[in-house]
Amino acid sequence: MNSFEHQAMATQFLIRIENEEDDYAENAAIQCFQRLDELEAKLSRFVADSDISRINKMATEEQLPLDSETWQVIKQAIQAQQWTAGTFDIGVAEHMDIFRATKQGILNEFEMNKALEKAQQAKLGSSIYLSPDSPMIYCIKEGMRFDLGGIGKGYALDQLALLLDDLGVTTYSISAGDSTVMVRNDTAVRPCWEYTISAATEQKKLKLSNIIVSASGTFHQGNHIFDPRTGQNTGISEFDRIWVASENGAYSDAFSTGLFLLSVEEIEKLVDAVSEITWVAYSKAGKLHFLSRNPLNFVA
Amino acid sequence: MTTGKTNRRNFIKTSTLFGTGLVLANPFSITAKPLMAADKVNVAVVGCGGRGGGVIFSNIPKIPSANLVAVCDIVESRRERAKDRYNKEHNGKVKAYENFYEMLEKENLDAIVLTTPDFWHKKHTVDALEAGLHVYCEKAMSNNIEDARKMAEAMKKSGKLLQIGRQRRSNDRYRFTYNVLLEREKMFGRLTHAIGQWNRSRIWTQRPNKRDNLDLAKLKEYGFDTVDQVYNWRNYKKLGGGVVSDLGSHQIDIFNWFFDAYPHTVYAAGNNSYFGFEQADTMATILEYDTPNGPAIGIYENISNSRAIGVYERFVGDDGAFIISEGKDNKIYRESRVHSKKWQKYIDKGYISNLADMQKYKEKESGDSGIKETAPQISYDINEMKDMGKVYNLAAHTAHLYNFIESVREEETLNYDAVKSYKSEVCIYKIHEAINAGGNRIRITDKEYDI
Repeated sequence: MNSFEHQAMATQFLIRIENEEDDYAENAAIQCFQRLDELEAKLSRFVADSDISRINKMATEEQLPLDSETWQVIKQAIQAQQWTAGTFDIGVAEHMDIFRATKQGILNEFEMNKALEKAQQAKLGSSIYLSPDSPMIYCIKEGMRFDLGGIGKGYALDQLALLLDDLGVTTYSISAGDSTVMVRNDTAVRPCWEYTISAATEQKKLKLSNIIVSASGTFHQGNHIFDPRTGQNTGISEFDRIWVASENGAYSDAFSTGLFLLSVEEIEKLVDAVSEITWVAYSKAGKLHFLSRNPLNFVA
Repeated sequence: MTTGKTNRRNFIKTSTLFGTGLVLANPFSITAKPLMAADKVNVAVVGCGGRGGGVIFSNIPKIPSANLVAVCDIVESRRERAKDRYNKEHNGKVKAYENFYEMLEKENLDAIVLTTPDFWHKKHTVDALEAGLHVYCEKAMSNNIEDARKMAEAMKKSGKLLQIGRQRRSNDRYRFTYNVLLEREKMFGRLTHAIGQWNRSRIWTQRPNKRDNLDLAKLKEYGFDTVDQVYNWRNYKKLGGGVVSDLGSHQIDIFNWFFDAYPHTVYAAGNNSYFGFEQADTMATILEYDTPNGPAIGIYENISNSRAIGVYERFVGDDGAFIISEGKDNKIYRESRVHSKKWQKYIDKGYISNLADMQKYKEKESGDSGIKETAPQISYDINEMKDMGKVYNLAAHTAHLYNFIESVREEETLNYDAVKSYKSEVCIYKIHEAINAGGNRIRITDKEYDI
């Protein structure tokens, strides 16, 4: 087993590769890290020349050609927004900046609340159109800025899977700051990857195979949670933490954020209706609970 | 161009729409400036490695007037993969070639893009120019000054275009900083210092993929002695220019551009003590300038075993300083001796914003929002790139290639032709010379910059 670390997307990526020559594993990891840096340069709103930065500066009636990666991830973000009825939303960069400015002491609390109201009004009055046919985006009415923080790392893992497949690497795990983990395994080489998830009073061992799992529980702003539907940090969750498994990293990442504000009943309906969700786990009152259409044979 | 305004309003399909301003049933139309098929520039990309992949899959698809017709690479699997992927993603009819000259003969090309190792640049560039094609060549021009000079001379002689791939020259933010903030507004007073760094955690070396189909005898025909030389040519002196060419030349070119001058003296040293490749992995140089506004110093360093601090250029002037980069580091700082009111006009014009663009939400002026925790030091961001003749609104690599393609169509002029690049590269070759001499001070005469 070879392990390699890399800093990107404001977190630490860890790649573990099994059943490859040391040199080849290192070569594969290096290519993955270069791909991650390339994706960050396209998708981070903090990189001035990224696609997202340019989208965020679009004025009314401007249009922009996009990289195919940016186009794909925004399409998936829109899909996740629709599935979650708005609890997952990438159009909240202005809100995030307001919170950051408050933490930095630039705005006081009174100014923050007023600013959030203004940002939400501007967002609700805005329209951005993404062509479904070609990588083009159009600003019909300005007022919304994108932040891919809730989907970008998962999407990046999907892209790394394509790259590693191209390199002929079959058995590996990739962790994006522990909040999203992708495992792939040739079952002849390794039957599964073992991970543990914990609540306050219990923990479970998971035997994962060819899946991506994302966790969320850290989106707190003080005692409250930011709710994109209201534009305020007034959301309340039933859960201490939530985990979402999917074969698609972008969706596991997005759902782990989006489901956090939903009720158990609402999540159950989504698990039944959306085949992209393989299973959901949540911790509540110190205990772990699972929701799945299929038998829970991955729980040890 | 690319910040295209909408005009007709009558399109829609099963749309993906963010926000609430329009409903799906209410059709509207947005069309880009239409280009006739005959108006397209037929392009081939030579070299399907990392940078070539960027040109093929990220840059060309965003340029409506560029028509990719062929790719060329000596590694079969690389060129075939590039061809297949492009044709699949763009419904294209791109052909793949091993032999550059066969491609020139068989295809009806207007221009070629060279993303090959430095040592191949001169031959392909000169031959293509003489064959009547326009050329976009990745930097560095070559790994030696003589070949770089021949390329610039061939451009002048042929009357064709030769753009060198230092994409910051077409980066909107760099162009805005130079054209508006420095030249027009003289916002920072006299520039006295430029400091540049490129920090990376390692020299990335690559090995062939399992599925790459390599024939060493064939590779030797193309000037490579080993398989490693194909993938890691930057580490070999006979094939590339090392860190000064690969990385430093991007940033020292910005020194030259923003200073409006070329250095008259370089001091440089470096060694390969960390990785042990042929080329230096660590280097530092001091460059002395006589700018139109007075003397100035450039300080540049390259570290290949730590990415801390990142990649940036920093300029210091009488009235302020700024950090500029293609990454996250972009900040403007006002000297305390310059009153804030003097810079208010730049905020009013929309050029810069302060307080992380949060001023608009403040109830009162900065410093009067109540007594609370310590606020951060005030710095400014470039806000809008206004009052520019042209804003590309494209990633810099795409914008630079776009500028080339539009220049072939005679809609623009090159932002960075081979003569301009040659002048900027002269000091790069002198830095090589100083490093290879074990550390040295070299004077450069005005005449050496002439073509």
